[in-house]
Formats: sequence, structure tokens, C-alpha cells
Amino acid sequence: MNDYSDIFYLMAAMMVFSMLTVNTSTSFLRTSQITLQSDLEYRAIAVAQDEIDQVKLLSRDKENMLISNHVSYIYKTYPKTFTPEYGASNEYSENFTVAANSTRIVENDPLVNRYLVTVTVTQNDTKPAVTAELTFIKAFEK
Amino acid sequence: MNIGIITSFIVGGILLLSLLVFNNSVMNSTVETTITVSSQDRIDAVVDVLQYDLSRLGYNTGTADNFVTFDSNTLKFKADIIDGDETTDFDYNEVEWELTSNLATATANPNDYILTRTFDPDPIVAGDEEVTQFFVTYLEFKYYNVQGNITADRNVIKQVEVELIYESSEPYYLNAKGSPQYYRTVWKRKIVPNNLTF
Repeated sequence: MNDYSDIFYLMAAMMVFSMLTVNTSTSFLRTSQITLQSDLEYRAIAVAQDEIDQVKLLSRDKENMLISNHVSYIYKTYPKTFTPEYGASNEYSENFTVAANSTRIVENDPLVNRYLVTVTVTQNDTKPAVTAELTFIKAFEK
Repeated sequence: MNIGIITSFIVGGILLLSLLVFNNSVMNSTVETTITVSSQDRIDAVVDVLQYDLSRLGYNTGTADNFVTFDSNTLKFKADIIDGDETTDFDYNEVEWELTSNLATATANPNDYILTRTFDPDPIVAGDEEVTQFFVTYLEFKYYNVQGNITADRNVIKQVEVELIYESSEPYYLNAKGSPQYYRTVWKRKIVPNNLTF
């Protein structure tokens, strides 16, 4: 037994060292994933803001576009895939899934109709997927 | 020669090499993480100011003609950037964002250009401009009408698209050929300034 003690010590040291390296690598991998996800989330929020901004542009005569059972409802073809391109020659791109809906806020306001618009943007390149959800209340004078 | 000593040297050498490689890997990951977070902070700083300025475009100017200069690299517009002197109506300022063709020599990154934000608190008074510099790789403005079509008519611009690419000022990694790799991040948004929606 005495002859093999050095081998046992060495194996134990190698196992401890292996566990250390594996745990450290896992930690760094997780850190990289989080920074990548935060980057994607940053752009997903921008995509959601773009969608909300389009609602801001709707004029008073376009109220029908936010009524979910109306023929001109703007979100009837959603969710959709949105692929923004980046760079001077559009050399980079990524896919976002954009889901959106609007619901009339029921209230006793004789002057204004309000709609709650919810936009959810998902980016599936990482696990778990990155999701950004924004809401906006659009008001139309009656 | 004692076979035990030779074996110990070999095993010890392998262990030492492993430790060195491990240390190098930890160093690289730490540098990459630090540079990544730092770059995200910096692009966020530029985006914050840019979004704030654009959200004020046309505010309290008393005119519908709010664009002074607008092309793909330069945007100069009228806006009441800081609510201050409310004793006078339409005390607007002018702001100019311009991606210059000057390379940013203060950074190690050869792809960086100087982006300037020139804030003119009183357009009538000359020489009171305040200039802020940022270092970015790419910036492009595009202008859209209410239908979402690109336009060059300043009277129908309702949306301004901004695309910003930022690269870290220092490399996070040298590849096998020794060429530096820079962390790159991008932000793109089509902004609808509230005061242009009328």
C-alpha cells in the first residue's frame, strides 16, 4: 500500500485540479452567456420600442387599426419574424420574433378611447431565449 | 538516474503547464468580460444622450422646420434640450450629431472614428457651443415619412433611424496570427420624436 500512496495522492490532486478548472470554465461560460444575452436584450428592447413608436404615429382616424376584430387590425399577421441588418453593407443580421396585441381599456371616459398595446420581442439564439416586453397606452379622442 | 525522480519531473511539469494554461485562460476570460461590460456601458452612454436629444426634436421651437442639416452622417436639429428659461417662448437650442472622418487616435482600435455632439444653447449667439466627443465605429442616420418610406424632404420626416456600431477601444484577444480582436456591439432604432407626430 505504501508503494502506491504517491499515485493516490497524485490522482486526488488531479481530481481536485480538474474540478477547479471545470468549475471555473463553467463560471466563465455562464458569464459570457449573460453578457451575450444582455447585448441581445438591449437590441430586443430597441425592436419593441420601434413597434411601440409605430403606434404613436397612428392618427385619430386610424383607431380601427387597434381594434382586434377589425379588418384593418395591425397585429392580425403577428407574431412575425423581424430581421434587422447592421453594418455599412448590412453584413450582420439577427432574427427577432415580434408578437403584439392591443386591447381596449374599459373605462367610463366620455372623451377618450384608450388601448393597451403589448409588444413582446423574443430572440432565440441563446438558451434561455431573450425576451423583452413593453406596454404602451394609446389614446384616441372620441 | 532514478526513475522516480524522472517520473516526478514529468508529472510535475505537466501539472505546472496545466496551471499556466489555466491561469492564461482565466486571464483571457477576465479581460474579455471586463471589456465586454465596459463596451456595453459605453454604447449605452452614447445611446442615452442620443435618444434624449432626439426625443426633444422639435419641442418648443415654434416652427415646423426643425431640421437644419440631415444626411447619413450628420443630423443637426432644433429642440428645447434643457427646460430652463421659460420666461421666453420658443427658447430652443440646436444640437448636431456628426460622425467625422477623423480616426480616434486616443484608442488602440484603428476602426474608431470621432463622433461629436455639438450643443448650441443659443443659436443666435456665436461661440457658445459645447462639444462632446465619443468614439464609435459606425453611425448612420436614415429619415422616414409617416408611411415608413425613406425621404429627403425635411417637411415630411416623422421618423429618424439611427444605427450605431461600437467596438472596444482595446482588444480582448489576439488570434493565432497575432491580429487583435475587438468586442463589437450594435444598436439600431427607428425613433419617432413626439413633436414630429403632429
